Amino acid sequence: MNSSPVLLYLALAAHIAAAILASRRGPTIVLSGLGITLQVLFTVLRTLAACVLPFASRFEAMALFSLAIFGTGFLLYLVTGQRWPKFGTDILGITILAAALLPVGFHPGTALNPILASPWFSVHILAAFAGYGCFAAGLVWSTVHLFDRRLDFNPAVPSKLALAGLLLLGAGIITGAAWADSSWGRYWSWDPKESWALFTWALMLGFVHIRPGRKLAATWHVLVFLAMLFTFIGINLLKWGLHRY
Amino acid sequence: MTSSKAIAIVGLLPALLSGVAAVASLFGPESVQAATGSGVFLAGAILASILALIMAVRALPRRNPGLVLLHFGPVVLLAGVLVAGQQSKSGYLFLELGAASPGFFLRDDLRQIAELPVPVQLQGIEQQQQRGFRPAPVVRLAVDGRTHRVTYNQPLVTAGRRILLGQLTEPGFLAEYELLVDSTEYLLLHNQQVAIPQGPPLHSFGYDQEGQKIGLAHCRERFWLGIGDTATVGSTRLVLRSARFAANPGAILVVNDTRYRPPIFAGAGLVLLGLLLQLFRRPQQ
Repeated sequence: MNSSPVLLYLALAAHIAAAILASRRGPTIVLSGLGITLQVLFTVLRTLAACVLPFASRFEAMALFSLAIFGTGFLLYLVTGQRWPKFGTDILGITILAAALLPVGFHPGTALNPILASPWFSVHILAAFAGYGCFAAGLVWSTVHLFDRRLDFNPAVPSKLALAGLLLLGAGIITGAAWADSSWGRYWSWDPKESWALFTWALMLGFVHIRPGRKLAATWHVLVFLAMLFTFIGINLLKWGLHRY
Repeated sequence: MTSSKAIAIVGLLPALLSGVAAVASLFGPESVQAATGSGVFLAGAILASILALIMAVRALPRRNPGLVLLHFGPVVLLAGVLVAGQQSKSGYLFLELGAASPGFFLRDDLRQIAELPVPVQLQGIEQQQQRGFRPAPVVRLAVDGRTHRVTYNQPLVTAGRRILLGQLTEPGFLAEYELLVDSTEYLLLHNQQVAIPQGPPLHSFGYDQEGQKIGLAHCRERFWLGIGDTATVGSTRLVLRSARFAANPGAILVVNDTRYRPPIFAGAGLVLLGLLLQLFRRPQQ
């Protein structure tokens, strides 16, 4: 059964409107909330149609990644009230979602490889992408504060985002290991996806040890984001290892 | 007070090591598996983790249980990996439909065999359909007089082992063969490695049931031997004495020794708990 992409296009429009109206708090909150709700609704309807959570294909993974970025950016805005980081996460999320809908293309749900029929699947993917969302928000925060020195640079914010990302991606890595142990018989095999996810995690772990200033914080987050992109997209495009779709 | 530079150096070590491993994994995980699985590497990693734990505790101006857990977790995890690597016996088991239990399985180093803790027989092969997924193969295994259905993500747990479904095989699969290496006779399973005097071990990479031949690989050299044929590798003489090909369909199962796994996941859990405590820790006044 196919799930219509209309909800995602409406969500995209809502997020674009939220980005345009970034200077007005009320409309931004309403529009971003609407966009996130529409994306969640799309996920729920696609799950009901396919009888499995939609996290397996490249299109679905990019849609989930954009949702993680929008969600983290939205929470950050509610806590800090700073509109430029919110604008940055919106732009990043819009880019990812547009890339999922346009060049990659909408794909109706298809029957999955039976090896994915495990409760670990959903937990592993959700935790990993939530972690990626935190890292992406940290990147935007650090970059915005690098270019606008008038903004109050509170080092606790990127630090908390880093810890949240480490916790969530760490949970994603560990649940992936538990799943691999019960499915393939090896909890860790240094598969490229596993190795690069661990490297991304360890790179952010280094960040919380060095307590950098604005410039180094932004640079470090760029490195983490590049490692994350390679883990998420590069490995799949280069067709290395078992973890590809 | 421990210097911030020392903390930064120790804190960056995991990124450095994992970065090297990540790049190396792109060229094949085997080299990384060999390097990180060695006792020397693991012992070094445990010592480095203990050092990090000591530095973290000494650097604390006041009690911080999250930070302690965060640094204690890797010690537990790596100790678990070391013990599991030395003690656990995991590997691969080929079962032919209707045949008796072989009583042993091929260890995951592909060299040694180990005794099966319980006899296992393959009684049937079927399929199951789950909504949203393609059909999955299911094998029916007989253990201790009872039949168990095993498929992906639904292993058989018995005698401290998990038996997982790897893949199904067709009739004609190479079950075992006898190879004479100089004057020593070996009974080998498909893919099993056998040491020879010159260079790395030898192993079978393919088989041809119709031609009654087995493909053997040594370094980059590959050659085919028929039953009774002779080949020479360096100064080592090889003779293929016999080969048994399965008459019926079968299955390759993974025998997973999970008895020593708990500390690994417990250590990882401590790291996550430490991160959680740090995340919600109030900033110091």
